[in-house]
Amino acid sequence: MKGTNLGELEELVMLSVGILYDDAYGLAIQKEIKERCKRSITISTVHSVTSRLEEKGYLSARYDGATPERGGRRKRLFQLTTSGKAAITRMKEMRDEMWKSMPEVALTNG
Amino acid sequence: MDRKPRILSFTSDLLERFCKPSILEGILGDLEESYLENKEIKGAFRTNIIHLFQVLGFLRPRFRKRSKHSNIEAMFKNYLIATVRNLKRHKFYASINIFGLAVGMAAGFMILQYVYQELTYDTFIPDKENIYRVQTNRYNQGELSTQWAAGAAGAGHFLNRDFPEVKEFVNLTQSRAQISYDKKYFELSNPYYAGKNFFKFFSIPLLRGVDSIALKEPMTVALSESLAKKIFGDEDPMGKMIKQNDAYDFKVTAVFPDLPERSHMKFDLLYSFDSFVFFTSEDSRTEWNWDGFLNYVKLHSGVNPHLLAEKFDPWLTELIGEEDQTNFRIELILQPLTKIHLTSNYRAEIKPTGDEKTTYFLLIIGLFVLFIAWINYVNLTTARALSRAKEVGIRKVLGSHRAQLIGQFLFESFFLNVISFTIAALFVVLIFPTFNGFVGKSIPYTWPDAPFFWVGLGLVFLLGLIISGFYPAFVLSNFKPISVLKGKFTSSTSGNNLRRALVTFQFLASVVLITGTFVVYKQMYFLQSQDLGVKIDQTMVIKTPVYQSDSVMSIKDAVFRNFMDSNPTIKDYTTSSAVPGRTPNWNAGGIRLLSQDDSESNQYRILGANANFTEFYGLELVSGRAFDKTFGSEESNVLLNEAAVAQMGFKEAEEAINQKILFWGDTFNIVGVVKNYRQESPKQAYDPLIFRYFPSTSGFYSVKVSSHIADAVDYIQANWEAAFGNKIFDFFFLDDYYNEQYKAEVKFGSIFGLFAALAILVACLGLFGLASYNTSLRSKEVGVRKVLGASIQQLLTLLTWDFVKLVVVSIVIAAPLSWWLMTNWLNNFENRIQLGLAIFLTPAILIVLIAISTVAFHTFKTARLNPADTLHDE
Repeated sequence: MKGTNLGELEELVMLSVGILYDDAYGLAIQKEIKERCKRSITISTVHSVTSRLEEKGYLSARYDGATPERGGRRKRLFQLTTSGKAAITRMKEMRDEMWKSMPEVALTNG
Repeated sequence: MDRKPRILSFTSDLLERFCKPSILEGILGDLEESYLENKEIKGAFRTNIIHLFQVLGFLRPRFRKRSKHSNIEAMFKNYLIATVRNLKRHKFYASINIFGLAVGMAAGFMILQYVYQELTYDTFIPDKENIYRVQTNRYNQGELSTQWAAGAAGAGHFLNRDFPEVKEFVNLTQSRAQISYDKKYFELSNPYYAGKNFFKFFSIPLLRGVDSIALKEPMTVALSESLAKKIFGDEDPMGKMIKQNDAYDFKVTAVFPDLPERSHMKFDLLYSFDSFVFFTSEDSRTEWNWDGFLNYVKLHSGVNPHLLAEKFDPWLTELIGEEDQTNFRIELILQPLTKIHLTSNYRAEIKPTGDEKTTYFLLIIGLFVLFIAWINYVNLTTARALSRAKEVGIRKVLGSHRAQLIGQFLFESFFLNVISFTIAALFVVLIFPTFNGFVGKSIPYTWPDAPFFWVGLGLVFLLGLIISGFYPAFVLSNFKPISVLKGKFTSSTSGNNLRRALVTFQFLASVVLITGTFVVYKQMYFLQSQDLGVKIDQTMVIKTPVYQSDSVMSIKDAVFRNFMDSNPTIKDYTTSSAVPGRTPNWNAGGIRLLSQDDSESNQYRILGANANFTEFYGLELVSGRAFDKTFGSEESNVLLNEAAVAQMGFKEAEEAINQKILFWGDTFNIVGVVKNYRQESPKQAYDPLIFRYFPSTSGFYSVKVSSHIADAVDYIQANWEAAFGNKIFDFFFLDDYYNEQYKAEVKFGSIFGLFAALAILVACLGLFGLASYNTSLRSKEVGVRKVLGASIQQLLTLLTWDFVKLVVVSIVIAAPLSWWLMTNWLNNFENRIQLGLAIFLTPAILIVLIAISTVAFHTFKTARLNPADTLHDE
């Protein structure tokens, strides 16, 4: 089925959503990625990725937390769904597994 | 809390229209927040730019609102389908419509481009607003005698000295010298001596060399890129020596880029002006009575040139003396640099100038053709309203608003206009080289790079859309559904009248253009068939080579003449300082009869001629004798033409014989008077000429050859090399050279003819379409008439008369209009044809015939129809 794999950017967004936990909305995600990964992505790209992840069922969204800075508009806050959590966990395990299988010498002698 | 958004309201509107409502609020909130943050750090302007890009980022399919209510797209799709179907069903009309429009647009496009080019000469020079050329007018006893483009030597120098308004000046004068490098001679097209600040003055960037020192020293020279390439190939030209007239070495100090075609200047080589001073004298910087010097001045910005020019007259009076300024007044005129090409056609221009009148004339003609094409569109579309009436009725019944129908028809117009425009662009690219040939330029097609041009083109397109689209849209959308669906629809009288008026206008324009073409060609023929009074046939003219010393030249000359004497293909030859076909380039003032006072002196053109010149060119002597080399002191004798005799104040030619004239301090005896002949083209009046006896050769060999022209040319060229070595063999045939004077008229005639043909083509297309439609409407009427006994002949007359009537009306209106226009044009000529009745009648008959044959096909077809076929469905 299409969309069961996670792209890199998708993974980063999901991790940011997890980190931000309670306050994961578009602009915050963008900033999080910029600070942690030194990657500039446009705000429309963030929204595009979250909407794709919603379609895959990895994220859910609700509206809350209006502030004056936002012209009184509410934030669209994202949360990891159960299958979302499972997906990034699977991703992490897969990577750990691969790391473990790598002989140490591959990293030390280059 | 609900407050007004602070981000740009149109962007939030846009996103509201575009985005899914479920995510909209989040997006807007994010944008707003980042907008505020950015504003604090980056300032309002950058923030807005960033914001715009952010918004653009959201315009992607993922965020798009999918609404069932939006049908704009569906509407346009429907319009397109309706348009394409309609075009397909009526291929014939559609193709007439599109083709006609495309031809009109192509014509407009080409004219627009041509006019644009003519109007933008010299605009590449950065400081163009402040640069003026000083043009010199010379008067004799208060009468304008000569207008020089290249005027008095001292003009620039003294203006610069005495007027603080003048920032700097530069002067140039033409050179006739020949150059060689490494014993090879090179033909120069436009060599000049130029002041040391020339390149800086015009901000011409040098390819090699430094502009402030390039022409600073005597005996230095700057070459154009192409000439440098021709002479030196891949060698580095800098510092090389080239030889002028086999005598003087000039050092190459600069290479400049070839000047653009769209400049009134054209040089392939520039010697430093100081070299000219070295060859002549210091006077060449300051002399007032020495013409042939181009003077350019640069004013300080903000100086009003008119106010400055007003000071010239009193200043000159003071400078050169009251008496001289009264009798031989000098007038200095400041020509703005960018105006020179179109408004100046004076003596000693650098290259042929354009003509303002012709340019605007062309613009009008081009617009004519364009209007004719638009009118066609309107006519055909409204005339065919009937076939669209039912569609309109049904659409209205189904709930279309009038505005929507107008939109639909405008869309159709737009669609057709775009197709025509594309075809027109294609035409232009294909035809442009030919068109350029017509107007005498041989550049391949390049799209103009100036925004001005494209804006103009866009405006023309838009205007066309409005003119051709709106009226039909309003007419078509106005139908009442009840009447059209009942089938009671007939086209309104007012609509018919408008169509008639428009067709009349089309033919009016066509008639004017044909008459114009006719007049131009007749005038041309008239000029060319004039008795010139001089024989120019089978004459080959060779420019004499330049040698620094006369003795070398005369030896070589004798050798060459010997060769020519001994060949049967050469019938005769002579030498002179000028040949018929141009004004002699020696113009001398201050000439008078010995008995006259200094203030009565005048300007004359001087032509140095060998003894047999008059006989060679078949010039008739009215009185006295020609030069004769067997006479002793022939050098102190002169011949005059009748115009010169008249200018000296004699009533009869005989009176002038043996009178003495004073010419620059020397006395000459008038021995003969030559009948006036056309030294220049018959366009001009006869110029006063003085012939002086020049037995030595300088200027031109004129050679009368037998009918074996090719043999003669081969023979002469072979012996040229034997006599003069590798000096350039530069020759032409005199009749071609002479006819070059009519180039402008030939060009004008061809363009006139071309656009007249286009106008008629488009007008006839329109007539053809209209006739086909109108006659098909009347097929039932024709059927009834036939049943009642009308003959085919009567029917033909009936159907044709409808159209011919319009053409006749347009002819009646066109006649005075074209008479006025062409009289205006003919006033440019000293010798001109009279506008007789035939000139108006011939195009009129032609147009009527064309109109009749255009409609004949349809009328004949309709008239021959079997009434049973047309009436059976009633």
